[in-house]
This record gives sequence, structure tokens and C-alpha cells, in this order.
Amino acid sequence: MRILTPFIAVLALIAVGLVAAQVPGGQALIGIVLPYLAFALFLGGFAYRVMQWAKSPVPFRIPTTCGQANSLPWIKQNKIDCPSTKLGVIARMILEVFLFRSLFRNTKAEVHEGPKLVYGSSKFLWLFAILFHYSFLVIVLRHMRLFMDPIPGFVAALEFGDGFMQIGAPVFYQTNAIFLAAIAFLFLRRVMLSNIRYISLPADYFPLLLIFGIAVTGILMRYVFRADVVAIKQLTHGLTTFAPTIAAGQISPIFFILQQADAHGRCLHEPHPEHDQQQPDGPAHQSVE
Amino acid sequence: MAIMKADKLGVSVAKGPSMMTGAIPKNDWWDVPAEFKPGKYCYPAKQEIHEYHQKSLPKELGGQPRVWDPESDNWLLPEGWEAIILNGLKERLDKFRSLKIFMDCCVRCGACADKCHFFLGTGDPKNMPVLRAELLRSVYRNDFTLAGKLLGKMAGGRPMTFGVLKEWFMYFYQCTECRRCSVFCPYGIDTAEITMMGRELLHLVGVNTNWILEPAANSNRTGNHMGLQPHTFKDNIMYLCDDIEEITGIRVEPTFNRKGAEVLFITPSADVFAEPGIYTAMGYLLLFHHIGLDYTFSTYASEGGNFGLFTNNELMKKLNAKMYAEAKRLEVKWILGGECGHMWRVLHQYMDTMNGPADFLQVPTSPITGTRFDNAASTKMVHISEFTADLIKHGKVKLDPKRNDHRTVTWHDSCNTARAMGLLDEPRYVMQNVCNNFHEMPENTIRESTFCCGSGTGLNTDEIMELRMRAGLPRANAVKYVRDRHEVDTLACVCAIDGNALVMEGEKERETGLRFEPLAGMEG
Repeated sequence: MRILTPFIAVLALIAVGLVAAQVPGGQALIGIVLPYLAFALFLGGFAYRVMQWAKSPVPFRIPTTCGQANSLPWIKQNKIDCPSTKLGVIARMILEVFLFRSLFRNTKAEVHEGPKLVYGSSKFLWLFAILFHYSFLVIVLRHMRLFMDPIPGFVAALEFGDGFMQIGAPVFYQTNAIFLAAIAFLFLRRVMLSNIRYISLPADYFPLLLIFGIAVTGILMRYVFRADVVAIKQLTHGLTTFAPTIAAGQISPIFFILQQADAHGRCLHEPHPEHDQQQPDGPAHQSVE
Repeated sequence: MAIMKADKLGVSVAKGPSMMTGAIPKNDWWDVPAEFKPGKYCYPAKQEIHEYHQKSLPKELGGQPRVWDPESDNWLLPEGWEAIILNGLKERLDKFRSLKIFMDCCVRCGACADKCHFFLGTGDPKNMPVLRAELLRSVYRNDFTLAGKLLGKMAGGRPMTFGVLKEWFMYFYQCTECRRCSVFCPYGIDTAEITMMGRELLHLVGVNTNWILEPAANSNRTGNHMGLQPHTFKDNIMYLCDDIEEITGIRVEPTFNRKGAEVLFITPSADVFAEPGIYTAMGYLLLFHHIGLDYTFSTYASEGGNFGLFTNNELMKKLNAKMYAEAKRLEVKWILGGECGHMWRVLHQYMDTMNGPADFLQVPTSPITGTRFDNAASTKMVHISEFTADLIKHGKVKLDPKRNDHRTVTWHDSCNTARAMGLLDEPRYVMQNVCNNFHEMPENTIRESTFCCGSGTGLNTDEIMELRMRAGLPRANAVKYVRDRHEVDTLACVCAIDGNALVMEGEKERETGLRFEPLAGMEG
């Protein structure tokens, strides 16, 4: 049930997109109304969440520290893991937010006869989490070409770098494959590892399935059911300039399926800033000056 | 309650059906009820102890004093207890940003799952820190988030029921707030914070344990956990002085409640009460005598430990305040603190913004070496191992490590001194200077990854001995490893309670000594 319900929910979203693309007014709903609504909800929800957090005070400095503290002058301090200056705290946060440093420490424990406990290094979760988030970032940035005119130089550079293997036409982007592989790993990990399956909730499967759905429809649109990019750009660019129009009949239904999944995904999920960005970590990693 | 023999327990840990051995419960975790059987829970507070606290703390913090039995299906909870809990939760969400964020930001990645010593030793899924937190988080979602209000169970929400309360009482008392899991959490979620809040909420409806409330009551009444009155406290230390004279021929003359001393020395009362703490205390006495420290004991602030930390913020604050109150009354310049783990957590992470800053004290400066402890500039309190390391560095104590050549030693980092204050290399420096044979335990089990002894947060009570042994397993296992590899026979600790726990765990395997401080002093 924990997997089935979110799976059905994602399928339902796709079906709505499929149907809406065919009915009068449906395209405008999914192409124009929902994106605005979703984006507003995303920004509003994000801001609301952070403000809600900020409303509560931080009466105690209770960070968990790792490594040696600032102590006697001849004892070497671990300036990043147990910082005593603002700079150290910032360095710790940057490493945490951009490199998922705590996750990098991960180990796997096993119990053997004896009883004997052994701890092995376990970096897969870190690796695939990094691949997932950074390929997601590259993909989002690449899509900026649809929302900006002229296309910024870094977007073109990113596209070139991402497709440098020059496979197929349209050219194949590595991040697409890495992204799919990473989601598949994160999903399979939840399903296959019995203890992770035991702790997982529908809310954990839903974003994975949803993002997987977005990625797959996006890839299908690019390589299989070729969509009219010019018409799409007209729409997306119209959205960013607050003058949206839909060129009737030119955009294939697959785009609306994608749009639907995407839009609802943002509406429902992204106000929880848990997935698309590693949020700056909580008080546990705050200043210990 | 019969305690399982160590060898049988060992087989049970390695082979018995548990999540650690690959057995997965058939039911979802929210459908597995907590069952209280002898040995699985700490005894509730005695009614008179509970009543005593009611006299000095706001009544609503402690609930109704009564005689109740965790094994029964009626805990004699107050009318409308669910609302009391939910209001309490709301109040705490508004008071502590940490709690709010920790309730919101978990994605159940499972990195914490096998980092908990209670999980490693019991294999109980609800001892995975993520599920321990979910016990509270599910209630939070149900009543405080839009998704939970709309989707209920589908959003992972659960209404507050008696079953949930039972789970809280069971699993918030199978967490020692050691914070090892928080080292590995990508969001920095601190389960200690969740356990503390869970326990506070339980106290609101009068669900508590005697092993925590009685020492806290003693501490409130006499200044120390043991309930030693001033004359007894003094007598105990004077007995130690007699022993010292017998062993070394040196007569040390500590002072008590002496106004105008430079330093107020505070240590857990266990140090003057029972083995092995008394050896540590003898070490302090000798060391201070040798270096000629101008210090005094207080018979009122005669406790460094603070069981308020395991109860609620108000009690913690109250018990902590007596340290500063005594420092002020005795007009000392600064405070020197003895061993003990959680005492230092309170000092380092709470005291400054709870009862501090202590502006009436001076930045601690060692009168012997002239070293200024700038890291203690705000709390005005220095740890004995920093102080001693500084003495050794300046050659102020003569040490003969050869006297310890019959010992092979390893070092157990207390969770609190390691992860709450980063006190890692000072004690190691002292060790290097007092013994020649030193071996570290494996790297996943020391420093910030150190394992709890299994007895922190007021869980060092005998009625849950099997649980304690299971929880102590990861630490004991690492000790065994160095014993087998390097013939280590001495485990040095910063805290006497840690040592106690480990003696019980591995009595047959090794001889445990807690004499690093005494030796540093005794040889002076």
C-alpha cells in the first residue's frame, strides 16, 4: 500500500494530463493556469515554511560537533567540524549543503557470531544522492533555455558539456541517464533493503515516482514523440513574460502529460524543501562559537 | 527478573530474530504495540518523590503524583491527557526551532538506522533513530501539518492514543541521547532533542521514572544526587584523605565552602561516594595538593550531574543554577569541573544561555601555568582534563609512565564530551604522558563516532539490566577488539558511570580501571 498508493496517484496525474490535453480549455489549464499556481505555491510554501521555522527561537546552542574543539593553543582544532568562528561554521555548512558531508560518513553495521559487530564503509547512498541532486540541477538549468531569451551563455555551455559524447540526434545528455539511474537506485534501495522499506512512508515514494515520471516523459518527448520545441518555447517564454499563449494544436499531448505531472508535483510536494535542494541544515550544524 | 546470562545474550544478539539479523516484522511499525514486561522498563517515580518535585516546580510540568503500573492497561492518566500532550507539543514547537525543523525535515533515508547502540544490541526496529523520531513525528503530522490533517494516515499521521503513549514511554527510555546518529544524519537531526521533548511531554501527564526523579529530587534538596548532606559530603572526602595519607604518606587538606578561594571545584557526587569514582576523586585531591591550587568544594553545589536534563528544561535550569549561585556566594574567580559526561553537555551547550553569562566570574586562568582558557571565556568553567593537560605541557607535574607499564590502556570518549564539546585530544595527551602502552579502539567507535556505554540519560538502573547490556554491546565489542589484538586490560573513561556500565558488560573479559586521573596525581 505504501508504494501502490503513490504509484496510483502518479498514474492518475499522468492520465489527467493525457485527457486534459484533448479537451477544450484543458491545454490552457495545464499549460498556463497550473504552472502559475504551482509556481506560486512553490514559492509561497517555501517562504511560509522557512518563516514558520524562523518564528521559533533558538534558546540553546546545541550543535553536534565532530572532531577536536578549540581548546589549548597547542592542541590542533578541527576548524571545520568543530568550528569556533563564523568562517568555520560557513565552511561546515557549505560542505554539508553542497557535498552532503555527513552522508559521506555513512557506514554499514553487521552482527556476527560472538556477538561481533563489524562496520564497513558504505558510500552508495551518498554517491547516488549526489548524482541525483546534481544531475537534477543540470537538467533544471538546461531547461532555462526555454524560459530565457536570449539563452544565457552558461546554459549553452552546459548543454554542450552535457552532450559532449555526441551520441544520437537530438544529442544524448549524460545527465538524463545518470538522473534516471540515480532515481532508480534510490527507489530500489527503499524497496529492496528491508529496514529502509520498513521505515518508508507513501510520502517517500511519491516524489521518487513523480520525478521518475517527469524524467521519463521528458525523455520520451525529446527522443520518441518529438514535440514542437518552437511552440513549447513560445508557451514557456510567454509564461515567464506573463503573456502566455498556446499555439493551438501544435503541442503534442506528451508535453501536457509532462506538464501535468510536473505542475502537480510542484504543487503537492515542493513546498517541502526536502528534495530539490538540500536545505541548509538545522540547528545541529549551526554556529558553535 | 532474571537476567539473561552473558553467553546466552550474545547468541540472542547474533542469532535471534531481529532487524539486525535480517528478520522483518510482519506488521507495519504502527501496528506493533509496545508491551511492558519486567526488565523492559524503568520503574515509575515513587509518589513521594513526585510530590516533592511538585512543591518546587510548576505543577503542570510533572502531572499528577500517583502509584501506577506500566504493565497495567490503566496508567491513571489525567482527564484529557491527549490534549495536555498536544498543547505541550505546540508549546515546545513554538519554543524550540530545533524541534520544529526536526519534525519537518526527515526524509527517512535510513542513514541513522544502524548507528544507534540500542538498535545494534536489540535489533528492535523502533530503536532505529528514524523510527524513534517517527513515534513523535507521526503525532506532529496528524495535528500540526496540513497534509496530515487532510490525508491522515496516508501522510504518515497518527492520532495521539494510549498505544502511542506507551511506545513513547518505551522508546524514549531506550535512547541515551548520545547523539551518535546525528553525526551521520544529512539533515543534522538530533534524536537527543526529540527524546528530550518526548520525555518532557510524558512528564506532563505524570509518566516518569524513579531513577531520574529521585536523584533530581536529592540534587534539589541537598545539592547532589546521592542526597549527601553537607557534613556527610565533607566526611566522605575526609575519609578519602585518610586513605590517601595511608597510601602516600601525604596529608591533603581540602577546604569546604571557603569564601574567597580562587577556584570552585565541582564534580559529580558519585566521585565522593563509591568506587570507582572515589579513585578519581583521590586523584583530584592529590593533584590539587601537589600543585598548590587555591580551591574549595561547595557542599551545596556538590554535584556536577544534572538529571534535570533528562526531565525538563525548567528542572535542568534550576539544578544548574546552583553552580553559579555558589560561585557567586563564595566569590571565586572561576569554576573547575571534574569528569562526567552529561554534566559537560549541560555546561557547554545550555548553561551559557540558560543561567549565564556568568559576568561576575573571570575568564579562567590557570594560577599554576598562567594559561588563559579562552574557550571557557563565557561559561567560566574549565574541564579537568584541559586543566591537567596544560599542567603536563608546562612540566608542572612529574610523571613516571613506567609505573603503569603493567597496564595496556585504551580510551573511551564519553558521548557528551566528544560530541557536545569536542574534548578529544586533551585526555589523550594526558594518557600519553601517564602510560606507555596505549591503543585506540577501531576508528568507527571513537572520537565523534564513539559509542555510548549504554547507561546515559538516567538509564543506569538495574531493573533494565538486559537492555543496558545490549546497549553497551557496541562499546564493549570495540573494547574486546583491542583486548584481543593488543591485550588491552584497562579502559580509561572520563566518566565513572560509563565505567560502571562497562564493568557489568564484560566482567570476565578484563579488569577495568578508572585511574588515569588518580595516577596523574598520585605520582606527583
